Amino acid sequence: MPGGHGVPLSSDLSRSDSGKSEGVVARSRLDKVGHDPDYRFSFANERTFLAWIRTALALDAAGLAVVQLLPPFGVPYVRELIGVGCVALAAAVAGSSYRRWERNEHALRTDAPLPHNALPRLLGAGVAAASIVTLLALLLANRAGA
Amino acid sequence: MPEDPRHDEVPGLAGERTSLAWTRTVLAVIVAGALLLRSAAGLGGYWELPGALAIAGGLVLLAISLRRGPGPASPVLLRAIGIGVTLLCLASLTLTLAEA
Repeated sequence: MPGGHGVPLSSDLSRSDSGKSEGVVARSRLDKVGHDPDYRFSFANERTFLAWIRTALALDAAGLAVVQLLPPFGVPYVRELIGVGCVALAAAVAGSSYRRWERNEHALRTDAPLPHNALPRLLGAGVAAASIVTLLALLLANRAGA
Repeated sequence: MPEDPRHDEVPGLAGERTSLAWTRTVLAVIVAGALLLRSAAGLGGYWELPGALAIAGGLVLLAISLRRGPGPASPVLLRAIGIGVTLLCLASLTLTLAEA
């Protein structure tokens, strides 16, 4: 799709090993590239895109819920830290999701190997970090309360 | 039969799984919109707009997903969803930072 370069998040996250083909994907219309893949592959790519969108929405909801619905931990700004982290991660996931779908679709249409995707690693690290901060905050709050 | 990968499942099932994925996504959009709307309660101004727009967008998406044809979705729709959900997340981020 023309103008597909617009989202800086996605090009940052997906730069690693296919920097050469990226310009081609961005400038050419997808349906003129390669051949129509087996429809099941296109459906699978579409479901993967939707799963990433739901992941972003779940992170967004988790971040909002931490700030809005939890009682304060007793440690100042910990809820806000966790909430902002989750919501920022959600924005990164959502912001790069179309680009990831497009790159996968391009690979399917040209029988190329699927592009490297750095996002699962970032997501795993982010969720782990949020969990560790939550755990530490709970331990501190319990100690302060005891 | 199993030698030909095209015969290893009933063709309709891939479409059905995709259809269910759309339904789950629509639900997630509406839930996230409702949570954002609730988070904006009491703030006044235009803070309730993003949540309301997200719920409206979720309903539009529901209508689109119920009327979709047998094939994969159009890239334009996927791009619109990507942009819309990104804006929803950025609105949540702004709200969270504003309240902190």
